[in-house]
Amino acid sequence: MTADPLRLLAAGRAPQPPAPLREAALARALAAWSDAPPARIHWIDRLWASRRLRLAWVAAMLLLAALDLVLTPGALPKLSRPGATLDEARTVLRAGLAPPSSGPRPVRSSS
Amino acid sequence: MSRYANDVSEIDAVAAPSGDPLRDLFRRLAAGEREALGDLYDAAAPLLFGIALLRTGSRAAAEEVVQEAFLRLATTRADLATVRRPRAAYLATVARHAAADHMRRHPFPHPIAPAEAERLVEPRPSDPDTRLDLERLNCALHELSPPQREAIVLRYLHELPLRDVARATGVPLFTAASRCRLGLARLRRLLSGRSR
Repeated sequence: MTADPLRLLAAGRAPQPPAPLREAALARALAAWSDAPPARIHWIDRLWASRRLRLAWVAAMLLLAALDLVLTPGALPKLSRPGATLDEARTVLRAGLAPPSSGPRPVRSSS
Repeated sequence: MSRYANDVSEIDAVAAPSGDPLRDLFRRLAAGEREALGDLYDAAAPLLFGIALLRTGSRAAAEEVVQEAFLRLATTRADLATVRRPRAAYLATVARHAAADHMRRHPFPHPIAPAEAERLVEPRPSDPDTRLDLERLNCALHELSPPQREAIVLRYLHELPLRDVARATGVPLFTAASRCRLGLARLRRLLSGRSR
């Protein structure tokens, strides 16, 4: 007696279907067999059956969507603050305040 | 890490099948050749019957499932032209779906005890001396979980490549490899008399 399942599996075989089943299965299948020619498979269905082409199609659609987002003005949110308009700059100058990003930094006296 | 390495080596060891005899049969069926159905039966009936037996647990139900599977193949033969490799996995999937529909229509009232279940391995006619060992193997197979049992039978009894086992059972490749590895380990323990 061996305890090696691989050797045992190799020594046996799968259960065989009974012989009368062949006639019964074929008779039932052929009874449902239509003599009409099978529907012609459209070329686009053949293409769609390919996994690589499906992936390429999805990648192309994603690329188009990304391009559309980049090229359409205003589609992407602006990440930086817009520059001040001329009127805003004048208001700041009139009030005597320097814009925060311009002008010399105050120098602290050492004495 | 070692388990992962074992699965990888198992997967790497599986060579891609060199030729596919089912390809021509599929083409002939899709072209409307009736005689191809008989040839397909001779080529694929043991696999379909084995899967049906695994899924239903009874020979009578498995015979009905095989008939239903061939009925589906005959009525949807136009689709066979677009089936890519592996075609054995496609056939297994048809049988699996037919078995699922059968079980939905005729559910078992209670789970089958391993001693009452159908044999999943038979002795070869040329080697009847292995009958006793194979009885033990049958009992041990019925102690496995159904997914492990199915993976072991498809891989080592029907000799499907691991990729086909994965596709036929609808799981990723590594899951199928793990089921085979864990199932074999459990079988070894059961056959050597250690239940755990």
